Amino acid sequence: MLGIIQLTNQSYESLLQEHSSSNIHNTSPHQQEDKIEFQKFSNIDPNSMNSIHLEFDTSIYSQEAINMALYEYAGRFFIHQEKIQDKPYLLKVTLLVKNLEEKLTECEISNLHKELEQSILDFQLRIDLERRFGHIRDLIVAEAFKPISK
Amino acid sequence: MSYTILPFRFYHYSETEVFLSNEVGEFAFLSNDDFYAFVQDRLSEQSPCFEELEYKQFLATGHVDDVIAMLATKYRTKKAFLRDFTELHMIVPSLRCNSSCIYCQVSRKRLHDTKYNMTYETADNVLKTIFQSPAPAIKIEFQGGDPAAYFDMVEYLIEKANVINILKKKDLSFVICTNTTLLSEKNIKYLRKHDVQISTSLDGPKDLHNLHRPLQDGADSYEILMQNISKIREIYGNDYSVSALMTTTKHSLGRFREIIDEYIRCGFSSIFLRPLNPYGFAKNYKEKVAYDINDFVENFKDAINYIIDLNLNGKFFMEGYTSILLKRIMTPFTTGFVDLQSPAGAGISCAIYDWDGSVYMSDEGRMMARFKNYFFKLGNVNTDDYQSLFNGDKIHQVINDSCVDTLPGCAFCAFAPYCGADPVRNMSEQGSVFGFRPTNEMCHKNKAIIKFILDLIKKNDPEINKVLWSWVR
Repeated sequence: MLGIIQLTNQSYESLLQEHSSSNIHNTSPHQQEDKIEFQKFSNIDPNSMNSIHLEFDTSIYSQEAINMALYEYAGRFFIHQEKIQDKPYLLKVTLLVKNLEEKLTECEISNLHKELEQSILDFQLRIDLERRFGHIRDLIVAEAFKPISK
Repeated sequence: MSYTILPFRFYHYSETEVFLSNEVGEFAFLSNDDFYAFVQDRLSEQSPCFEELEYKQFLATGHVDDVIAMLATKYRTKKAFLRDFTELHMIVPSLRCNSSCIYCQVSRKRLHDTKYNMTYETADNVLKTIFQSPAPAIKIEFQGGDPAAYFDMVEYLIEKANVINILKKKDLSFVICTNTTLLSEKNIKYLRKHDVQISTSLDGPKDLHNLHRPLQDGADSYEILMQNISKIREIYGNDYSVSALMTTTKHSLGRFREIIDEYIRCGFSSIFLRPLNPYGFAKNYKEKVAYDINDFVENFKDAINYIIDLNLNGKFFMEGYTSILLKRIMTPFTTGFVDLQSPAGAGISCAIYDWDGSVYMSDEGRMMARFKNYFFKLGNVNTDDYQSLFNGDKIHQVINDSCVDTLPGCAFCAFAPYCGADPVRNMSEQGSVFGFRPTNEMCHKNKAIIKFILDLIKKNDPEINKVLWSWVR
C-alpha cells in the first residue's frame, strides 16, 4: 500500500524564510539543507503544491527500501519521515521541494507518486535478491583476490 | 529447470524493457515479463533469453562453484588496474606559465616567478620516491604551469630517471603536457631524442582556442600552436607523437562539430570531449566558463552521432571517452582511465609531485590545494618516505571510501560496472569524498552518456557496430 497524495495551492516560502539567515551559512549545499529543522514539517499545509505526502505500510516495504528510494529524491526535496502514533506499521513521509520557485503540477505529483512507488518496489526487490544471492558476490570477490589474500 | 540467480543489478531501461548488468560488466535486455519471471524463479528454459542469461552468468543451472570460478577470473581481469599499483607519476617542475587560460585549473604563476621552480634536491627525492613504486611500468608526465617554462629541470629529471632505471629496469616512458609555445626547436629535438610524447591543448578553431587560451604577451596562441605541431611532427617524423586535449567551456557549446572538424584539419585521428573540471580558476570564475551539465551531454551526443557519420563516410576518427566506455561495456578488459575506476584511481593509479615536493593523490587534488584544501595531500618527498606516502592512513581511507559497491546511489546502480568513483571531484563540488548522487554532475553525465552508448549498441546496426568496435582498443 502506498499512501495518499493531497494538494492545494499554498506556498511554503514563509516556512523556509524562518530558517534562512541563522541556520544556513558556512556549510556546503546539502549540509545547509540538513540544518532545516525537521519538526517544522508539521507546519506544512498537506495541501501545498510544493509538497507531497505519502504513507507507507512498513509491513510490506522495508524501511531500507523506502530510504533507498527516497535518497534518489533528496536532491530535489527535503524529506521527512515519521511514524504515526497509533498505527506503528504506518510511515508518514513528506517531500518538500527545495527550490523556492518550483511549484508542482498535479500531473507532476501524480508522476512522482508512480515513480516513487516503482522505485520502492525495485529497491525492495534488490534487497530481497541481495539477501538470497548476495553471498555469491562475496565468494566471487574472495575467489578473485585469493592469490593475494595470504 | 531450477536455476540459481547470480548477483546482478537492474534498471528500467524503458517502459517495456529492463537492463541487467553483473559484476563483470556483462549485460542483457529483458522484457518486463521475462524479467519478473526470472527474478521469481519461474523463467522457462525454453524462453529465448534463458540461454543468454546463462552464458552471461546471470543464472546458473549446474554447480554454482564452477560459475563462481569463471566470474572470479573475469572480475580479476576487470580489476587488473589494481595489480601493479601506481604507474602514472606526474611531476610539476614549475608552476610558471605563459598562458592565461580562462579556465586554468592549476592557478599558474607568472613566467618570472622563479620561486615556484622545483629545486634539484626535491627533484632527486621525487625520483627516489617514484622508483620505489612496485609498478613494472612507470610513466612520468610533466605538468605545470607549463613544464617548458623550466625546461632545464625537465632535462634533469629525464636524464636522472634514465640513470636510475639502468638498475631498476622499469618500462619507463615520458610525456610532457605543454602549450608548446615555449618549446624551441632544440627543446623539441631533445624530447625526440628521449622519446618523450607531447600532449598539448587544442580547444577548437582559432577564435575559440584564442578565447580560451590567450598568451600573457598577447601573441597569437593558436598560430604558434599550429606552427609548433607541424614542427614537432617534422622533427619526430610521425603524426602520433603529439596529441591534443580539449576543454569545454560555455563558449564551446554548440560548436562541437566545428571543434571536431578542426581536429581533423590538424591531422588528429581522435578527440577527447572533456567537460570543465571544477577546480582552480574554473571554480572561482564559474560564471565565465561553466554550464549546465545537461547541455554538455546533449552536445556530446550530437558530436558522437557526427563522428559516427564521419566514420560511416570513410574517415576514421574516434572519441576518447566513448572509446573507454565501449571497452568497459563490450569487453572483459580493464581501462587505465583513473577518473572512472572503482576503487578510485587517485593515489593507486596516479600521483602528482608538486614543485615543492608535496605529493597529492591526483592532479585535481593538487588543484584543490591551491585553494587551501589539503585533504588529498599524502605528504612531501622531502620529509616522508615511500611507505608513509603510499601506504599511509590517508590513501587507505580514500580508497576505502571510493568503491562504487558501497557508495549510496551507486551500490545498486546498473551502470556501476562501467562507472567509477571520483572522491576528489566529490570533495570539490559537494564537500565529501562520498558525494551526493542526487545532485552529482558526474553521476548525471555518466549515466546519460552510458545510456546513450547502450542505445547505440542496442540498435545493433552492423555498420555502426563496425565503427564502435573500431574504437575499442
